[in-house]
Amino acid sequence: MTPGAAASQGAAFDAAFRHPTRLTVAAFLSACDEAEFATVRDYCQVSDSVLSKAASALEAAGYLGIRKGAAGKRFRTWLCLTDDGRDALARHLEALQALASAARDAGAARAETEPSHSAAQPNA
Amino acid sequence: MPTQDRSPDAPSLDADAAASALRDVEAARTRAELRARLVPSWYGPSAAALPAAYGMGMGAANSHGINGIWGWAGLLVVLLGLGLARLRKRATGVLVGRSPARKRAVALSVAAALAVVWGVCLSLGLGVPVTLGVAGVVLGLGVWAHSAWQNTTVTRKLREGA
Repeated sequence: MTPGAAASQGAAFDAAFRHPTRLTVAAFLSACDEAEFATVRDYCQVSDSVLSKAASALEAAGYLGIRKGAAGKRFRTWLCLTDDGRDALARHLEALQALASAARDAGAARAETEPSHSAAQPNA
Repeated sequence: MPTQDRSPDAPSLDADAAASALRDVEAARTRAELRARLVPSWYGPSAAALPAAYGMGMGAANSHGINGIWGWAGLLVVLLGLGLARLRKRATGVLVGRSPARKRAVALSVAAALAVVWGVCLSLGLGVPVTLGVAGVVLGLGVWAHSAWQNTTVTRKLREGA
């Protein structure tokens, strides 16, 4: 499969994860049951509003759950990836993997053919 | 490597971007797993004090022949311990559920350690009251030492990955 062919499999890529912040949030949450908003924000190195926007977009897609809880006088927001979100992320990562390995295979094939081609040229 | 919010539009995907995204995903997962294993500094001493105080109290009560109330206090200590563990998990900001197999392994290793301490104390002829106290203190110090060791390891890994 060529990189072009992999890229043409548009259905495998999930539009909700095409944005880097959303993909990072989903990846972080995929490794845990729940994470606090501030922890995810600090990891992603984005502002509250940017993370809030990304979380809302993922929530709208049905991939993310938002739970608000009180800890003493403080309100804390917890984010979690839904089962649908985990499935969608797995599919998206498979597509990314296919694209990356197709490009790697194409590069390796090019590297194999190019030396013999360039070696043949001086004789010609 | 964390990502920045660059534009509201979805960026186009090429092979390099895909490889980079996969690396970012792996880094994010590793970071989340490590964060979940961090232990707050207050947890070690609190978790150590609980079984140590209970063991010594139970030992003292046993030497005076009053065991009943300490049996009930054990229930309270278990509840306090569970509450402490819950607070610890929440304090890290990342919650990861432990598998039943892992819980079983932890419970078995704690029981084995207590059995060894119990056996050593009795073989030294220390008697039940002292054995109870020593078992509580050893259990508490063990939890504290494990927390400190785990924190050092995780902090080093987090620093290496930063």
